[in-house]
Formats: sequence, structure tokens, C-alpha cells
Amino acid sequence: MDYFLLYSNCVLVKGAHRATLCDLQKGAVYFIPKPLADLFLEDQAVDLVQLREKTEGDMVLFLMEIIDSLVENQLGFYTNQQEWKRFPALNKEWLFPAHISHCILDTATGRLDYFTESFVEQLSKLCCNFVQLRFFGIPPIEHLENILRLITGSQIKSVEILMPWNTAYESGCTYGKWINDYKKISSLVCWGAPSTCVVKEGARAMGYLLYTSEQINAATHCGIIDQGMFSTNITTYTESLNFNSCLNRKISIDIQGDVKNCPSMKESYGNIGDTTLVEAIGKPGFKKYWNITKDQVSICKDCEFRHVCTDCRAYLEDPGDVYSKPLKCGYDPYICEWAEWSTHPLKQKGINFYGLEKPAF
Amino acid sequence: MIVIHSQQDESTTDDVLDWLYYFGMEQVKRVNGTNPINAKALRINNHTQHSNLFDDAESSAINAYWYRRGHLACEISEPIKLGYSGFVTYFEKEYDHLTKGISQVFKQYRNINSFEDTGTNKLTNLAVAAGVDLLIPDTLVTADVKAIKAFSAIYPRIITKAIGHNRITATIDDNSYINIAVDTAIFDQDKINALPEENNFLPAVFQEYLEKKYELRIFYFHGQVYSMAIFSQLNEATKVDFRKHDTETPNRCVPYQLPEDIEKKLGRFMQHIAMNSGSIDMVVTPSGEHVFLEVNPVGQLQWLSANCNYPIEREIAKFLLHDS
Ligand code: SF4
Ligand code: SF4
Repeated sequence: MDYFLLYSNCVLVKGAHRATLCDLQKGAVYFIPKPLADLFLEDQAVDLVQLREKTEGDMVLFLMEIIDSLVENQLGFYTNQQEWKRFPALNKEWLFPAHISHCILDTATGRLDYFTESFVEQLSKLCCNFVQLRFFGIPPIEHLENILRLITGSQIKSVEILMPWNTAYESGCTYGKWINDYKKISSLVCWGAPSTCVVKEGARAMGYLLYTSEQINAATHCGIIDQGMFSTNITTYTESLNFNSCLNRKISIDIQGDVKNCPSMKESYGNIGDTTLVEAIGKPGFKKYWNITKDQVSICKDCEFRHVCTDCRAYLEDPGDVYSKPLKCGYDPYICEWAEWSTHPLKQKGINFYGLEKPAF
Repeated sequence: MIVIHSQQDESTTDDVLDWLYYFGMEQVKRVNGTNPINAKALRINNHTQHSNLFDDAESSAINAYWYRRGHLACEISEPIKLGYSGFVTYFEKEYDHLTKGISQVFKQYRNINSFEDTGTNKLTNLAVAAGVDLLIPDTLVTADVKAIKAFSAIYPRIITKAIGHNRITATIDDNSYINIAVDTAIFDQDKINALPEENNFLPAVFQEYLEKKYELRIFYFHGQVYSMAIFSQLNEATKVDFRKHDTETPNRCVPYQLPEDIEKKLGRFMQHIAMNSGSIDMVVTPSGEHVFLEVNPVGQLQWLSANCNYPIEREIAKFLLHDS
């Protein structure tokens, strides 16, 4: 047993100061100190003989203890070179059968009148799986139920809904009823609620009812990078290796009805009143962010979280550089510390540029 | 048109359909086990192979067929069931014959599996596997207690399992039925010793217990081989039969590269049993030997493709589209 080999769905992601070991099967992230990370061959295995030869006294013990604990936690196993050949690295392809995977629809009024049978037909042609409805005004009950019925009868797999909390719906048990009646709701988030809480716990990422006291009343609330939003799985990992972690296969319609890659971006590819989704996607430039990977983004490329993190290209630290780090991320991979992004001195240029100075309520 | 025979809510079928739609294919007919075939016609003559098994198309327009799972539903009417329960077996046998016939008809098309594959025989398969030089566990099929005792004396431990069917379903009365999974189990030596010799029971399979380094689940599909290693030894609950899943600590499942000669032998084995696709179970022993256990024509795929990021569903879709 002269090698330590990681299970191939536990991937090593090296950052500037340390590495993460992302367990894509079980969805957990572990930290690996840099001296150990640097010993990995092909990011897969550690040659234990070499470790003992090349490392100084105390360090050997320290590193061997970490490796022992990795074996104990079932992240890897001891093996020999012969057996290593039998355990190839994970296939890096992103396997996702959709021309559009996510669709965000924003409305200031509470109405999405273009959401008709023929609109759903357009989404289905694009194999769109996930829809997010962001209501910045209260949707009439009849109207939303009509939309939910259309979704129920379609190939759409899940819908996330954000809407303003209001007393009448609360006392009429409307929210709970929707969760019960429409099984494709992954989560219903009522913002501007009296408190922040999980009202109804879902199961397997479906059927959540959440209240938040935050005011999510405009698209400018999007783009926050937070550890709570990291997702550790093969789909996220392989997408982040090959494509942009937010904008790839995304389509949005902003509050004006403009079809965009992301509602917070300026570039519009036509209005939903006179353009089909397929036409918009076909226009030059629509996909220009799809291939910007974390490995190309400054600072992110040195970050150990880059393959479990999301991305944002709409709000950038340096608005003049498309490869700039997301503005709303407070993490510094060189010192491994999180800070509040909105008050950070280096972020003020970007904050002013996007007009995010005041809290938007 | 592509015809897929499956069950409702069968997720691998859903995944393959997503790929088919993604590739722009819309002519797909999914037949679920719930579609009754009573009212359908299978027409056989010298001129046509037409039949109206599918309401919206003639079978001459079928380009590919995938048997994934399920039966074709056969509706035996209530009066027969209640009044002439003795005839039910006859009805079932007739329906079974028809289902097999339909299955044969579909084998003329480019196909993945057929309904007939579900009848594959685990015992003859072991013999065929041994015939192509795959290692198999020493196996005894008997109800003779003396033979079992003699067999158990050779090995430190033996296991027992059903010959062909892993599930018992039986109707008790109008309101109740039983459904028992017959899993592989270790047959303890003291239980064997305690067996009275004149015992009279159903023959079962007895096999030497193989120490495993890890188990392999292999998906074979028209010559392509996708293998996964399952580190079941890490969890007590799954040591004997990894299908008994421990949900708290799922077994580690990772891509595995079979030695070339084993891959070749598996290919020969599948050719011999005339099955173009199936899930094969093997174990790797502590000394590194690869031992064949069984093949299942309708095995779980998602488990394999999801853990190993294998493009299995996409490749199935491409095959059905004549694109591979
Ligand atoms: S690019 Fe930023 S603002 Fe746009 S959808 Fe993604 S995270 Fe939100
Ligand atoms: S620097 Fe921030 S945005 Fe970039 S990968 Fe790390 S956590 Fe994500």
C-alpha cells in the first residue's frame, strides 16, 4: 500500500492558500492544507514513499494523520499503483440535456400575462427544466394558479417563486395551499414577511415554504455569493469546469418584458411581445457569457470554492472587465477570510457603478 | 417512431426521453405497463407486418424499440376473476404468450432488450459464464439437506438466495396481500447444523460466501461497458447484499476500469445469452480476482450514471436515433 487514492467523486480543488476536497457524492466540503494538496499526483493520489522522503520530520506525521482521517471519513483509500489504474478520474463532461436549463421571469406588477400555453410550448422546445418567478408585486390568486396549472401540465420539472408577503394570503392559508396543490413548486419564498423562518419543510429540494423579512423587491438583489448557496455535486462541478456557473443555458425576461440572458444585464435581445425565445437566443451576443468559466475569472481562479460556488457576471468588482470577480462576494482566497462585501473599501467603485449604495427599499 | 416499453414514473426512461427531446426527436411512443393490450391487434401475414398496437402509428413506421421495464397490462374482467377464479391462470398464460409474441415482433427493429430478457435464467447464466472462463462462485442448487451440509463443510461461510425470483407477492384475501423481498443472506453454520435431514422445502441456491474488496455493477450495452465499484465493505449493513442500502452512509460508488480480458469475456457472455443490454453484478476479491454473479436485464441505471457521471442515458438515446 504505497499510495493514498481519493475516491474519484471526491475532487481536490486547489486554491491560493489551501485546497478543498469536494465530496460530490455526499455533498460535503473538507479543507486540505496546501503542503498536502501540493503532494497530489494528477490531483488524485499521494505517493506515500515520496511523502516520507520529501517531507521534513514532524510534517510527515502531521500529513499522515490527515491522510488517516481522510481514509476514516471514507474520502479515499490506501492502494498500490496497480490498483490505481482501475480507478480512472471522473468524466468531466457536463451531462445536461437542455438548450435552456433555467428561466427567470421578473414582474413588477404581479402579472406575467405572456405566460400562456404557447409560451410553455416555447420553453418545452428548449427543454427548460427550471423556472423562477420573481414577483415584485402581489400576483392575483387566479393568475398565479393559472400559471401553476400550465406548469403542472408541462415538462418543466420545478418552479421557484418569490413574492411579497401579504396578510390576506397568509390568513387565507393561500401559501400553504399552493405548496400542497402544486407539487412542482421547489420553494415559495415570501419576502417582506414579519420574520424569517421555514414555514414548511419540504423534502428532496421540493415543497419548501419560506418567509424572509428581507425586501426582495428588484432584480438588483440578485448575485450575492454566499457559502449557504454553494452546491457540491457532479452537475455543478462539471458545469463550472466547462461553462459559466450562473449564465450558461439561462434565459430571463425582465420587468419590461425584455428577453435577456440575465434580468440585471443591460443587453436585451428583443421584447417578449414580438420576439420568440428561440429568436432571442439565436441573436449574436446572447451566449457571450456562457463559456466564461471560474478558471478564467480573476481571483475566483485562485479560490478553493470555485467548483461549488455560483457566479455573477452582472455585478462585477471592476465593471469594465468581464473577467472581474463577482462584486457581491466577500471572500478573499489569499487569506481565507470572508468579509461583508457591501462595506468593503475596494468594492465601492462597483457599488457606485451599479447604483447599489442605498439598500434598495 | 421510437417505441419505449416502460413503467409510469420510471426515472431512467424520463432521463432518456429528455435526451431524445434534446436531440429534437418528437416521434416517441412510450407504452407503460398500464396500457391494456386487450383491444390491440397484432396482424401477421405475407404482405405486411402492420399492427395497430399503437393507436397513432403503424408498426412499420417503428425505427427503434427499447424494452425498459414492465409488462403489458392484461385486463381480466371482474366476472371472470370473481366467478371463475380457476380460469385466471389460463388467461394469464394466454396473455403471457401474446406479450412474448409482441416482444418477438419488436426484436425485428433496432432494439435494446426485449420482454423475453426478463425470463433469463440465473442458473444457466452461471453455466454460460463459467463456459467463457469467467470465474463464478461455487454454487449448489438443492433442497437436499445432506448435500447442503456437505457443501457448507467446504467453505467457511455460505450464502443462500432464491433461484429466480427476488420477491414474493401473494394474495391472502380480498383485502390483503403480502409482499416480501427475498434478499441474499448468510446461512449461519449453526442453522445449517440444526436442519433436520428429512426436511422438505423449496430448492434454493447456496453459494460460497466471497470475501469482497468491492463489488462491481457493470452496465453492458451493445458492446459498450460502463463499470462502477461499490465499496460496500465500509458499511456493515450492505456487506452481504449491497441492494440493502444504508441511507445514512451511502456506499462509496466510483467509476471502475475493468481489466481488458474481463471486459472481453463479458462481451462473449452477453453474446452467448443473446442479451444486448444488461446490468451485471461482479465482485472483486481481496486477492484481486473478478467473479461473476449475475446479469439483470432491467437493472438500475441512474445509480451508475449519477455516481460515475457516465453518459449512459445519452448513449441510449443516440442508439435509438441510429446515431451510434
Ligand atoms: S448574473 Fe448575477 S444578477 Fe444575473 S442572474 Fe446571475 S447571479 Fe443574478
Ligand atoms: S472568490 Fe468568491 S465568487 Fe469567486 S469562487 Fe471564491 S467564493 Fe466564489
